[in-house]
Amino acid sequence: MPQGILILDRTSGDFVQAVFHEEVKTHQLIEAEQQWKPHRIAVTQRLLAAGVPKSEIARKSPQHVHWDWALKSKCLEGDPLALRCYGIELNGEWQGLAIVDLSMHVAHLEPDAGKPLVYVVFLESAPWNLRNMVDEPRYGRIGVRLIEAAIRLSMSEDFKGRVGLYALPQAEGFYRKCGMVCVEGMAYRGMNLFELTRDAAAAFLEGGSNVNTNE
Amino acid sequence: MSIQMNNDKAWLSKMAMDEEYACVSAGGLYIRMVDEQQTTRKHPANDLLVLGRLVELARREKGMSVSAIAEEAQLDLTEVLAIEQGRMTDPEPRVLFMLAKSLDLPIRGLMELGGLMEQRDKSLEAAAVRFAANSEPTEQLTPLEKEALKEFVKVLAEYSEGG
Repeated sequence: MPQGILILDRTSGDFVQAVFHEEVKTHQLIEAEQQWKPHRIAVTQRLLAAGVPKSEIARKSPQHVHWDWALKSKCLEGDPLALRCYGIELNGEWQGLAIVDLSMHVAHLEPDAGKPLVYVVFLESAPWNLRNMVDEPRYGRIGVRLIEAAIRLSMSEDFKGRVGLYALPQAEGFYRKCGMVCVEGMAYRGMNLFELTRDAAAAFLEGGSNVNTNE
Repeated sequence: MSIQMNNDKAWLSKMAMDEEYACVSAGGLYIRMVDEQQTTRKHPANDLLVLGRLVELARREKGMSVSAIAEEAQLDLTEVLAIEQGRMTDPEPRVLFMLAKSLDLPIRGLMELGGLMEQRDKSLEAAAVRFAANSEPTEQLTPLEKEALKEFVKVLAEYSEGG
């Protein structure tokens, strides 16, 4: 069932009511992609207009600029029992989305190494909410809310709040501030594995994890 | 799934993570934008075969079937089969981690054979070739296979401890 949640309106500085959707369907992912794609294209166009050579576009763009949620919906359809998709919507626009896997991943960090966790397959805030996409981001706390949902889902599955994900290099700072720790020796295709332990998850929900900027 | 999100403004105020300055993103399609050189597997071509043989012999030494080890390691049966047959050209760290844990094999050694970590020198490769040459996929481990398995696991363990 959709439920009301607060997110930050960066224009007014106030918290505003948005809607948290526990189950986002395929057609809604396609809808989100239709909303987000023009903004991704605009980033590339701005770089080209600024004289950035085509060969440099990928390196200078946000590292997830090529993501396509319509394509991701295919993987959701392919494994509906293991994968869940949730998201945040406001005024008919998708502000953030995440796909998580509940079945195939385990923790590497003690004291829970080998025990199941919620693995974040994809997580993204709308392009208009990101400083490296637009000059004036519209809404904040989207990433925080999406991670909060992963932790609460982990709790509800009796995974004690454990969460894991491979982070894009540009996003590592955010995940560290969430209290996640880089798992050494598990880098994959240029990305590091980050995990949230049960204690760090509890700290996050208490509001204390943002002081944890160390690994 | 039914979860209850926190709507306490004081809590949300504390959760300022500077997320607007970075992508809040994670995931698997990053490969498309990674420099091709970065994604080239770091292992010699025969390492996948060696990895498969190692996993198979370690499993058989424990007297376990493929389905039993898949269940213990919480892996899909097809993943274990693909590893053993040297067909998994792009093994995920998760798969190797769980196999190493279930078969009591050194994780770093498996990562190197799987191409997820760069081999530190040529001695592992030489040991891997010796191991592959002295093992055959038969039902029972021969004394020679047992010796080859023991020797190669020792080399892998030395690698892991050295790392």
